[in-house]
Amino acid sequence: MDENGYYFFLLKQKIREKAMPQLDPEIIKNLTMLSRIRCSKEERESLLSDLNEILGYVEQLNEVDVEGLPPCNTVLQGMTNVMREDETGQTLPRETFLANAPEHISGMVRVPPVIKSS
Amino acid sequence: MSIHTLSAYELHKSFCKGELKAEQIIQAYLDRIERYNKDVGAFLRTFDEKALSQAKALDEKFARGEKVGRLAGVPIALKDNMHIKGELSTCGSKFLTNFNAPFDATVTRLLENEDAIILGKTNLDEFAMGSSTEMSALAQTHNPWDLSYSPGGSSGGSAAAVAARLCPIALGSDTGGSIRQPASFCGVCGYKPTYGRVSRFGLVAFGSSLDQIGPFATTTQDVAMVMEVLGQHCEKDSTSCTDPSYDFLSSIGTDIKGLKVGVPRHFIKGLKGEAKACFDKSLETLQDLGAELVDVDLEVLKYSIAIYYILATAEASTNLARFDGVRYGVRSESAQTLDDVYDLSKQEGFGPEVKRRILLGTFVLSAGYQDAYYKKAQKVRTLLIRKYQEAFKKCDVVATPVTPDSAFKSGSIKDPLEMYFEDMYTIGVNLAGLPGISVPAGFINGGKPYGLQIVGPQKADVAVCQTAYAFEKATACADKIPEQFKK
Repeated sequence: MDENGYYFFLLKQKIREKAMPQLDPEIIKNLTMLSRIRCSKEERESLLSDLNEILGYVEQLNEVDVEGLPPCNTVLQGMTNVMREDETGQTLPRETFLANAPEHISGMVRVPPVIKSS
Repeated sequence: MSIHTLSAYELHKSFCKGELKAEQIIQAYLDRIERYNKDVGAFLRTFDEKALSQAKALDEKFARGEKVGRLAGVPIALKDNMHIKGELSTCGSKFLTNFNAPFDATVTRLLENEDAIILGKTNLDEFAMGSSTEMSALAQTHNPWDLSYSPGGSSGGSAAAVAARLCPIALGSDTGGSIRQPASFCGVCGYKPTYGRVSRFGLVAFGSSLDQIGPFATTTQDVAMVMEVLGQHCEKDSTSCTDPSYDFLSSIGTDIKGLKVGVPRHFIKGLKGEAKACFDKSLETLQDLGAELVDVDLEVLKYSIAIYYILATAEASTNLARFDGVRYGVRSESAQTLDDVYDLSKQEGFGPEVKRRILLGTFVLSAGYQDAYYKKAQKVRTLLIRKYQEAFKKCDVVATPVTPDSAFKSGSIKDPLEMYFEDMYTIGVNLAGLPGISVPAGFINGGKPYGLQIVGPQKADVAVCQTAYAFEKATACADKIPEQFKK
């Protein structure tokens, strides 16, 4: 283990000692559902341990005093919301758009039936 | 004279004098890609026929005596997350292996308007999420200085392509260091402009408040030349900077006597060994050039990784929700229901790092946790921006290392959090929307390149390039070519 590796090892030890696990298998399951990514049991286990480690690390933000500070919503100084006139313009032609669609029918994107037919 | 040893600036001048034909230049680079790309893995695909026919047309235009563009005779590569109409934009993901861009990115249009010729698209970590390019689902990219080492990432393909002289200029995108870190690893210049300076229209979004497109090149002069073309207001990007384009080329040659360079000594105290020695020497070089070093307090930067992995993942989770397998991308063949289309297409299409970040982003935005994570991180980001503003009252630019060390061996970093630490010196720049450059500073650890990072206040893009230009002239390690790719 080189010097950087050792430094990282110590850091991880520190996280493990300090951090309370934030997530449990139920939350992970819920998150995969919310983000619509199916995951195998093995994937969920590894996600649980990775995410807990990362969340353990970001815990350090709790030591920062942010009293009175506004949340950062714009990055570029002086930037304001940009509006434009609501005018019709040339957007994507239908055939260009549909060329990328996995399936299409009669000029529309096709998906498996949503309502079961009897 | 070998074409590949010339800078983009020199290529353009030679073309304009009639010394080199565009077709000659393009053919020379296509030949090099054909010969070397199998070793480097920088390009995912090239546009040989199209590039050659554009070159021929440009030669004819020149022969007719018509005015040619500011990038005439310059071949360029794009990271594969920027759109070229009718060409694949894979983002290094299995999910987009069949996606043909329906329109041009603004950068594509600006480059082509100035007669640049796009050679091909380069490899990246999937959706630009990573620091090694190992997360690409499509190819492995190697560091031209030692093929068993990582080129860095996420724009590793673009960095490696320029380092091996497979093109003189390549564009990358930088959300947390994805241009500067690979530039440092590969011994080339990598520039991340002020947030909003280059239009993001047609760049596949990852973290919208952080993403910025910028160039890789072998010299700062080339960076300046490309930035004059790319740094334009664009009405298709609502975060686009409305300033007129900056005058880079005529300004970068100004000397840096009396320039105040801030050094956040406390924040970078962890730097060790040859990396530290190289950085200290870089500071001496800046002093020799007449710059004055001042200490600045940027200890707040120690929180940048924590802030970033909350905000960037939150933004990624919303941005990547669009890849649902319904309208474009690879739809799972086993999908029986509409829910299957979403769930399985994402399961099969996304790699582990992308899933990790989407889930983390979904968590920090979810009801009950949003205040503790997302809003908290947004507030610390405000603090970080303010600390930078205070620092820039004391200095004109800030100098830091780009990375904790030179390139690591491919496959040697397995832990996701450890990989995130690669960006500890670069992320703050994105969080504050600042311009930053990685300029080659020397070779350490047995001939591995190592970069110096120069950071300026927002919109001080020219000052950053000017400092880098003076530094580069004094160190002369930017024009070094890896032994294997010299001929």
